[in-house]
Amino acid sequence: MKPTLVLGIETSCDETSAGLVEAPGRLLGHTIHSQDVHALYGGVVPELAARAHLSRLEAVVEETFRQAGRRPEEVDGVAVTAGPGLIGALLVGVCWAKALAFALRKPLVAVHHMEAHLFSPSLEDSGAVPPFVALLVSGGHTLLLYAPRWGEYTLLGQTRDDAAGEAFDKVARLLGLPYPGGPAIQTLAQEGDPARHPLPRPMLRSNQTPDDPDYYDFSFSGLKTAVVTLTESLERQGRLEEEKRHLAASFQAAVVEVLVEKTLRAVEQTGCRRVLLGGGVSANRLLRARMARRLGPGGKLFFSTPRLAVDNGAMVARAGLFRLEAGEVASWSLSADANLPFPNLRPRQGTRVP
Amino acid sequence: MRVFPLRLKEEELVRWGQRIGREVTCPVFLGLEGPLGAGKSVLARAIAAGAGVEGPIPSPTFNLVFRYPARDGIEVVHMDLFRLQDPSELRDLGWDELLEGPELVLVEWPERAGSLLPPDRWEIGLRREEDDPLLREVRQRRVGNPPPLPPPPQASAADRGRS
Repeated sequence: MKPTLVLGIETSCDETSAGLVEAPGRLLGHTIHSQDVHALYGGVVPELAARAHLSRLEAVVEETFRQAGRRPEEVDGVAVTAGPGLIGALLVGVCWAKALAFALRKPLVAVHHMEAHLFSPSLEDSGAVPPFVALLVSGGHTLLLYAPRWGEYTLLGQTRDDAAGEAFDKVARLLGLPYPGGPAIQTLAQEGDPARHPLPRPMLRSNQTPDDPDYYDFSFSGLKTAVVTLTESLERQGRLEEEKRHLAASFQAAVVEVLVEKTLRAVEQTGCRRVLLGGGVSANRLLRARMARRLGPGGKLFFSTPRLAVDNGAMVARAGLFRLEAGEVASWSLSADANLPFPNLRPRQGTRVP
Repeated sequence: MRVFPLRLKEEELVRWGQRIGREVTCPVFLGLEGPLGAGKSVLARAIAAGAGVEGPIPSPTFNLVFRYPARDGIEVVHMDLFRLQDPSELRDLGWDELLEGPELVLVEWPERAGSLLPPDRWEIGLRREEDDPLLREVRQRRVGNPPPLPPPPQASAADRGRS
């Protein structure tokens, strides 16, 4: 029998979330509990994250079934993020999903967190399907890949040091802004001049060719250091406070330009003018606007509304439905893997898969 | 005996890191200290690359720990403890089993581990120079009896000018 109803569970970082998806990709119920406690500490706290997931998962799953008007017995499978992420946090989700699937006598499905992000936009727009060039940008990842069809991926670029979202978080901390850094910098940048402080565009040079190993790769560590240097120098001059908004705008402009131009390179090289943005940083308005403008009227840009751009169980359910339809069922010995490799991700010539 | 701190250009820091990766006896624990942007990750990546780690070595800030196979059956363990609130959280990261095998352990923000730091270790402190952002001030401290590290490269011209 073809699977139709899948529950997805996501606990890889600080969101405890569940989603219920019905074939071919209809979202019936969706609950996210974000752990606000981390804002106090300027980041995710691993031990707190695991404990909080455990105490909230049951209510989150119950609420999801309640929204959908369905019962757990009706599902055809239980999908769970098996990695990558914080190991303690992942283990809570995996063990919980395993117990539920076992009790229901339904198949357990392991989902890769970043592959799940690719499925998010399709829950709101049935046209958001491959082929597409995907830019996945979050606190822990910066991946540029090409998907000719679901389940088949070519890795084009990745970060060599800090992830894009991590750069936002670290620069926010430098500027005394709250966590997460992305929204805070975006808000402050609205009042700033993005051209006031010329910052480097790492690994973006006009003389690069597709044969260069860094043609699609990213590096944000040097950009962060440039902001550190600038911040210290402005502080010594007593001008930091007045320049903060310009620093935020200049930094955001630098990150966005690199992300957009690298993605456009992938568009030119693959000939695919369909681009999908995923991960928390995809909520950045400048990124969306610039990408849309550079793609032009012949292109198509897919992204999720904020509730599905962040980590969520709905995308896990949708990715799990795909895996279940392909006959992929996890064994009862499934464990979480903090460094789980991206499924069927092939490197392009001259690159390596993370 | 060299007088510390040293002042190294980034490429000298990288060269030293690569040599550490190639030559140091494992297991060994290196704590990398310093503020944001001081070059902790630059040095960690150089050491890992010197030890034979291939491909990108992304920041462990988000995932807290990354492990890589390296030369001679060594495993490079790259950790970032910045987000830790309490040393007891190290249990989740397999801290108690560290250094049992031939591991080259690189820990950024090691001060977060408090009293759980291993008794034999190197502490390497990095700072950017205020008057020359291209220079790194490097302090090397030996605690207990860790395996020796190769000496840093010749100090840069700026350093010689001062001594």
